[in-house]
Amino acid sequence: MRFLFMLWKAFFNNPDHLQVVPNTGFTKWLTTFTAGAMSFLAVVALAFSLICSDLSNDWGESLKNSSLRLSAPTDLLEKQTKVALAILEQTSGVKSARLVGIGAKKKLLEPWLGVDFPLEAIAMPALIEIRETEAGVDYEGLRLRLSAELPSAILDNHAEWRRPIEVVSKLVSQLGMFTVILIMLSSIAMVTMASNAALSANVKVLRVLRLVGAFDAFIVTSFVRIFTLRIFLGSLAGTVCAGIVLLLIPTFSENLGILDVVSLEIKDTIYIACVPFLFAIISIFATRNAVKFSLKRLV
Amino acid sequence: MLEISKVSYSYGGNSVFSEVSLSVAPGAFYFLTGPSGSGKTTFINLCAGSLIPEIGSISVFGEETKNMTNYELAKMRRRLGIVHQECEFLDHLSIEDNIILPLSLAGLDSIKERANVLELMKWVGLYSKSKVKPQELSGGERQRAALARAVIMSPDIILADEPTGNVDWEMSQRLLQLLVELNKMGKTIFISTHDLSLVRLAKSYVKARTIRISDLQLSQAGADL
Repeated sequence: MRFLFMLWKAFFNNPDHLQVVPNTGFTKWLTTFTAGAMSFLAVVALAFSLICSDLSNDWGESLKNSSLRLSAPTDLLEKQTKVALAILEQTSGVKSARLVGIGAKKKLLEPWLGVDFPLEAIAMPALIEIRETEAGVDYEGLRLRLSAELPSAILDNHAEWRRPIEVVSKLVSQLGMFTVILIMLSSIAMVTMASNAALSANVKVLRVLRLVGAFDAFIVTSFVRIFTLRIFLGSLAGTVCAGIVLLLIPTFSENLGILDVVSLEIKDTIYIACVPFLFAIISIFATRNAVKFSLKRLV
Repeated sequence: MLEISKVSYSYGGNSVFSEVSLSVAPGAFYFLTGPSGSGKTTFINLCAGSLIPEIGSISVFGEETKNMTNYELAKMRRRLGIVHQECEFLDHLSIEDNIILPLSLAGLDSIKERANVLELMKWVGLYSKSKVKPQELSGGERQRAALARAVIMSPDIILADEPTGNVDWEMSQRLLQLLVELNKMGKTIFISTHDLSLVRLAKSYVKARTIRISDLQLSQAGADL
C-alpha cells in the first residue's frame, strides 16, 4: 500500500508549481541512456530465456509420444496395422494408439521434402502414434512381442533422445533466467550509480532547497519524480528497440523447420512489457535512498 | 528568540567553540565578527539548524534545535531568513522564481504573492532583472537577490553570513541599508562579517551590538568599533 502511495506521489502528485530539479544537463542523458541500454539487454536476455523455456516445453510435449512404424506391401499394410493396434491395445502402459493420417505425415516431413511433395504417390510406411500412461510402457516386452508377431514393425522410443534434449533446453532456459537476474542486479547497480552521479551534479539544488525550508519528503519526491520519469522513458525506449529486434528475428528464420516455433507467446510479451515498470520501481527506491543519503551528509 | 546556551562544537578534534552562550533579543541588530576561520559560518549554521551542537543547546523560537526532527527544522527555517556568502540559487530558474521559491514551497505562490515579489525586487533594485537567470547577475545583484529570497516569507530573524563578502564598498553600503530598513521593520538581524568598517557604518544608522569570536569564545567587542 505504501509502495503504491509512493508510486502515485512520484508520478502524479506534484505539489510544487516550480520545477525545482533541473531536467537538463549530461546527467539527464546519462540516466536515460543507462536505463535504455540495460533494458535492451534485459529484454533480449529475458526473451531468449522465455523462448528456450517454451521450446523446452514444446519439445518435451511433442516428443512425449513414441511411434511405431510398419513397413509392408500395400495390400498387407492395412491388415498389419490392425494387428499392431490390437497388440498396443492389449499392452499395459499404452494410454492410446492412433494411426497417423497422410496430412500429419506431410506436415512431419515438410521440412525435409517441402510443401508440395506428392507423398500419396509413394509407398509410405504406416505410422502409429503411441501415448503412454504415467506408469509408462515396457518397451523391451513390446519390442519382443512385435518381433514375434509383426517382424516388419519398428518401434521408436522417443524417450531415449527426448531426455537429453529436455535436459539441455532446461539448462539453457535456466542459464537465460540466471542471465536475466544478473542483468537486473546490474541494472539496479547501474541505475543507482547513475542516480548518484546525477545527484552529485545537483548537490547545489539540495543545499538551496534545504536553505529555503523545503521538507526532506518534498526534496526526495522531487528528485524521485524526475529521475524515475527519465529512467522509465529510457527503459521504454530500450524495451521498444529490443522488441523491434525480436520481431525481426522470426522473419529471417522462416522455413527453418523445427525453429519455426521460435517466437514469443502472449505471456512472454507481457513479461517483457513489465521491464520499464520494473526499472521505474528500481529507480524509485534507488533515487529515494540516494537522496536521503545525500541529505544526511548535507551541512 | 534565539538562545545559545553553553554550546561547544568541534570539527574532528579541532574545537571551534567552547561553552559559548548568547541571548539574542527580538528586534536587535547584531554583528558577529572575527578573523577568517574563527567559526563565524559555523555559528550561523548552528543557529540555522544546519549543524547541531555537540554540547549545550540552541533554542530558536523557544525550541531546541537538538530535539527537532528534520521536518521541524525545515519549518523553523521558513521562519528564518538565511543569506550565505556564496548566494546559491537554482540556476535553471529565473531570479523571480528563485525569490518566490520559499513561498512556492509553502504553497503560497499566488498572483497576489507574485505581485509582492515584484515589489520586493523593486526594493532590492532587481525589478528589471526578474526574468534573468542567476548566473547572469553580478556579485552584488546576487547578494541582493539572496536577501530578497531570505525576506520573502517575512521571517522574524535574518541570519546573514558575510553578506558583503564578495561585493565592493558601494554595494556593501547598499546591502547594509536594506538590512537596516528590515531592522526598522522589527526584524532581528544577525550578520557575520570580518569587515569592521561595515560595522562602524552600521552603528551610525542603528544601535548595533557586536559580538567577537576569538579563542573559542564569544565576547562583547570593544568601544573602538
